[in-house]
Amino acid sequence: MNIEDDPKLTAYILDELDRDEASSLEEQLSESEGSDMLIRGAREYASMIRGAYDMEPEHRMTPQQRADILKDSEIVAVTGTSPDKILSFTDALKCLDKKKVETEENNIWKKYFPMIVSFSAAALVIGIAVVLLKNDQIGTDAKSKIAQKPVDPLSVTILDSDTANENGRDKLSWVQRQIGVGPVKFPVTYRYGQPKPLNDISDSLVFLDGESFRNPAMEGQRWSVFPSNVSSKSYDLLREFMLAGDFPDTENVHIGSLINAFEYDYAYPNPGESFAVNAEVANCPWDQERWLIHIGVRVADIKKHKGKDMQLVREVRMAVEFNPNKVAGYRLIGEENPEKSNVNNSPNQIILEGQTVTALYEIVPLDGTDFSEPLTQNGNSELVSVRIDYTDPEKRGPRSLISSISHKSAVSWKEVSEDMRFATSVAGYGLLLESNGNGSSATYDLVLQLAKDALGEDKNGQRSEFLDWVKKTKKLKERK
Amino acid sequence: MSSSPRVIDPSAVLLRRALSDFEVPLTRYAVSILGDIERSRDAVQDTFIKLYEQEPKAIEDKLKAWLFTVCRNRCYDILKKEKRMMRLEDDEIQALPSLTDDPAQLMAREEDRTKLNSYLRKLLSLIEELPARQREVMRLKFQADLSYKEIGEALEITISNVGFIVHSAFKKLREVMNQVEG
Repeated sequence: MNIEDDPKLTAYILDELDRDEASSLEEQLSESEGSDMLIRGAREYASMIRGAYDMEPEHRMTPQQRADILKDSEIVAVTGTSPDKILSFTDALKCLDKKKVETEENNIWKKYFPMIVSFSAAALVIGIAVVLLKNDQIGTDAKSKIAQKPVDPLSVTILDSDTANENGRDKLSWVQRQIGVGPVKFPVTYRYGQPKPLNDISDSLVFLDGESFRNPAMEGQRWSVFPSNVSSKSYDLLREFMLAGDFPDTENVHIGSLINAFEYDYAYPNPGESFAVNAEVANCPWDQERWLIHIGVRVADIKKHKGKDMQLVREVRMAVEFNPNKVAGYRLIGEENPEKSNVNNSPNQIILEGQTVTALYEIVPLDGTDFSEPLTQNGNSELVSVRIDYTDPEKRGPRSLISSISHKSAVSWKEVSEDMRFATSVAGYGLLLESNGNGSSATYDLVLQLAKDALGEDKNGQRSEFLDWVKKTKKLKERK
Repeated sequence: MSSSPRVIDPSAVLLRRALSDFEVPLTRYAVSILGDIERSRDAVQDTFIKLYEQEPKAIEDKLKAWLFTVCRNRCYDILKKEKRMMRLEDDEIQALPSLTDDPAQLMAREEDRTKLNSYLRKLLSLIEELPARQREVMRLKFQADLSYKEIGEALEITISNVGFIVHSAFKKLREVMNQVEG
């Protein structure tokens, strides 16, 4: 039977086969010529289908419907407003529903301990510090371990901001490279030690000011894949509203895709390299307890490839690994479906040459660390590492680029690049639209201030146009 | 300021996690069955309300399959009630992906991006022309990221049947797109 007609092949490229089935199929494939081309083509096609579905509007319920669902459910077990008013664990237990205490007496500590601590910013810090104590040693040496042995039959390039040159932030330098071949398997390894098993769903989130953040200490949440597919849908839609003089319908304006619809002046990769990772860390302008990580990826531009559609396309997967010894919680701004950002559910995505990809993460530092303060002691200063898995069209075979972002990438708002300033402004605007002015601490004035200082060259006038939109929206809002 | 402590409710945690992870894929799925946003929103809201009434321990391991199954049943209940079991009209389906106009007309964007967009739009319209069963399975697989097993549970068909449907649809789409390309 022709292997191409076998449903198993489709199941294989969609990662639906179990290990035995997959390896027996791989064996079969290795005997037939051109099968790697076949697999790659099929995977690329699967990515295109996912991309096609992404063209659809992002339907969701109305805010009122959401509010109705949540109105009866309470999850908080904290008193007062300031951190020192938090109940002791014993007191909190006493206050819990009596019936629950009786029926679950034995495991109530185990069950509620992580929740109680995570419901306030101060207590959260203690909880995770305890949880992570064991992981601490593993994390410190993770980098050097990766450097010593190839972790997978895979090419890994490590780009390290710790050893970057003088203008380190603008362009990080390559420090290490390993070459190999084989299928891309994810995750290859954890840079910051093994995550804790997820015993209970309440382990998975941490809460700050009523908003939820993913907890990188827990299994399945160490990595976050960020989307790299291009869509100007949200931008175009917003533009229509603005041209018509209407307040934007937030239903279909997606913050992540809006941020990515603008052009950024990210540095290009060195000749011969496929990607350049630009990164900055700064305090979140609308919430001092949070920090923002701005990741700007630039794909190499290969002019001679222009021509047929398919040649412009590459398959990639971009992800961030969070260091749980530094980060208590994280959230990708504009993330529509966190389930998709789980590496195990994340198929490769398509990307164009010369394209930029922007991701903004809000993070809650562990121990309330102020990243702008210089490190007091030596140790692992990595906050996150960015990982790009891709297939090199010329050299053939899967590759990975790992680039670490450390404490040292933290800057004050005076030093922040125009690109980060602008992306943050768009994010703030998106959050304002999404929350309809409630909930988010961003304000139109703050968004305007950020954008005003971030126009840069603005070759196509996009950024000044955005500034006009914000002003218009503010007026429309005031009239409402 | 004093306030009394409240009870921690694992159902509420599960509900919030489900909302943040699955609201959009569920609503998109409901729209694909019902064809309009209003009723789809109601079906999704009913699904989440039902989730909150469940014992979280019994659900959390199979949350995704559970949500899609319940949402699907809810959608078909609505259709039945309104005696509208016939397939969606073609023009209704076409209207979904093209809520926004062709971006190329709105502004001169980078040429490549427009090309890719139009390629993907074409692909999406081809997907919508597949037979109803293939369409549903493809959406659950490629948009909602359900596994074959989860799809099998939601649609009450075997895993190998799911594999066969995905394979046929996938192959058909490749053939048609190649013809278009060529």
